[in-house]
Amino acid sequence: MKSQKDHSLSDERALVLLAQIGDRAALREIYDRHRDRVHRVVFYSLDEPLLVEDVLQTIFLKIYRALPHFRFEALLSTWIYRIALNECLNHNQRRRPDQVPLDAILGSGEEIDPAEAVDDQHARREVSRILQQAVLDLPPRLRSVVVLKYVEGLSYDEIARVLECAPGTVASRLSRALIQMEERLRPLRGLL
Amino acid sequence: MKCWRAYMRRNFMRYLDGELDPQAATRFETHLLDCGWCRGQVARLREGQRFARQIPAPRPSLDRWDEIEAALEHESSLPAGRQSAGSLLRRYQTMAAMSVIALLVAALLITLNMGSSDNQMAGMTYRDDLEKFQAVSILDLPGNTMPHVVTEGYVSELRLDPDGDMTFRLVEDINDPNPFIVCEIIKPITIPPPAIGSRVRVYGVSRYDGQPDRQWYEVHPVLNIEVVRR
Ligand SMILES: [Zn+2]
Repeated sequence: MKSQKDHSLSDERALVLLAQIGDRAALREIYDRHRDRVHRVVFYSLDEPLLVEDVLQTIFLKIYRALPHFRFEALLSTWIYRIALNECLNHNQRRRPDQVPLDAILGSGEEIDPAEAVDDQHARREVSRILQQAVLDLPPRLRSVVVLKYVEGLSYDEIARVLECAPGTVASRLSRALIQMEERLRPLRGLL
Repeated sequence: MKCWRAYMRRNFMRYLDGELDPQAATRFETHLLDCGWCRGQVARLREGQRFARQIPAPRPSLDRWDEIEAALEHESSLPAGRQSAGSLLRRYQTMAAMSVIALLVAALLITLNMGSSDNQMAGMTYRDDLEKFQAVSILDLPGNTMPHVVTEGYVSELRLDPDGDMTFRLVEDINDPNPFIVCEIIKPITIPPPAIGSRVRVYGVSRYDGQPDRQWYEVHPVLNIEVVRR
């Protein structure tokens, strides 16, 4: 198992070295390998959902501009997460749009009767949308730990490296985030 | 009433994520039996966690590579004064050109090296000192404790680092990428780099690179290379 990991790490190093000397196929490979994770992080970190694809493009250009300075002090994915989150943060600070709060979608905090869901597929889509909105309603600092932990599956230590904070800070932000999510989604317990 | 045992509160997430050691987990559970507030918090967190595990992972609907590539091309085509700070492709092109020059020099050196006898000492003037190097196989390098080693294998790949160092991999079997070690010739490169596929003996300093993205054994710096078979 370890040797397989070593192999993939050395494979990544070779890929980055090639990209650093301008190998177009290597640049493309980095895009292919990391596009989905950048997209997920941007999706949940950006205040303007319509701009996710544009910001993703900007992030990859920033990654490529910074790549010659990448010194293998972190995993490439850690470094990429960091660039993506910083870009979203900058973007959000430049322009704060009107958000649709979850309350507007849920109405009051009444229980929703699952029996009312006419069509299962439609209900699933609704549940997804509500969960997404619950994440988007979290303050940005809490949002990023939740996404890195539960969407990206990173450990506390890995998240701490991405956010450049202590693992203890990750745990405390995570606990605040989960309490807020529990509070907001409690009315949907029957559906979720 | 909120629990006054702050250190217990700090454990909530680690407990739920199974990151507490068994003793701490038992202490925490004992506390939970007595503390309604903590019990309530853990229940809420567990529920929050259940929600969080269902957060959907959206997938991009568009492939933006063409636009990204076009933007890279555009940046590299701007006149020097109008280029952004990181005019990427131009910088890459310069680096690529430098790498090509370095590889051409390396190839020339290899060719010159081929003109002389096999098993020659490349770049070493202290032939006698070579006897002080501990002979270790690639497979045994992890167990080695001697600083100076000589190890033999096939050159599987050769790379030029952007910072001017040159690395190559040494493998036991040319058809198997594992096990390998990484050999690094530091700049200025005065040792002719070995040809890929050749069998060589590499003299240098043994070390382990523990960086998370590496974690491999190295001969670094390489002090001498002896060609065994081309
Ligand atoms: Zn308590």
